[in-house]
Amino acid sequence: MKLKNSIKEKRQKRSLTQQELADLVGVSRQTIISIERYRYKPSLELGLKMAHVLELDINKLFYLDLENISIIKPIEKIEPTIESKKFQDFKEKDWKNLWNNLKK
Amino acid sequence: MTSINISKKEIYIIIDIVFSILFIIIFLPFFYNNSINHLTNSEVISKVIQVMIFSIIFFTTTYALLEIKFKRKIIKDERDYLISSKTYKLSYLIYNICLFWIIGHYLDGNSFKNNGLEFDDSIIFILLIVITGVSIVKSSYQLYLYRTS
Repeated sequence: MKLKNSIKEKRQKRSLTQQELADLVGVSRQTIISIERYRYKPSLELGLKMAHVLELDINKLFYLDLENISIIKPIEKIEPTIESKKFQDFKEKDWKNLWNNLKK
Repeated sequence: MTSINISKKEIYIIIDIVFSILFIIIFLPFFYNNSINHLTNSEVISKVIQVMIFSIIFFTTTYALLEIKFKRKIIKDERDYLISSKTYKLSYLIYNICLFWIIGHYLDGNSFKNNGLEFDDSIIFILLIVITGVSIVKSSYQLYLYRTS
């Protein structure tokens, strides 16, 4: 899983040079080069600044490479097995059900 | 033919490395000699003054030339701070190891007498070796990080 970005593409679309973008976000040209080549991961603050300068949503500028992400599954919604009831409303049958569920 | 694209920051680091190497070549033999032949204080003081004058001339000329060549001001950003913290961490670790080694060397050797710890003239030479060595390692690592990260 790798953090990727489309800065180079978006920057070229806006006809900005690396130096111009660097000046706009207040970093050095070398930092922009490193980010574009995926050698340096910028801070959230710098990422947001870049997104602001390029007038884009940060999700469109930075994204995860999903090729190797298949191991991570979304969390499954757990269905409640017992109906939620107030303590006062519990009857003998409910207690038995609860006990059987716990034993399982 | 492709030219190496090098930034102002990287040239500053190279200047530091060159200075350390020159210092080793020009001045360290004197301090090594001092550790063996027990030179007088006035000789050592005059050498220290020479070192100071040399470093002032070296840094003013190189920095001035660099400022003339690269007019753009250096911008320090988060990547610089990250690289600095990594390199200082490494140099701090090497300093610690060297300090423990020096202390061990003096405790283990003949310098540890009944009166307490006595340092001979070689301590200056050893400390200078450690300082310049660590400086070279630190700058080289910094340059490596600037080129690769």
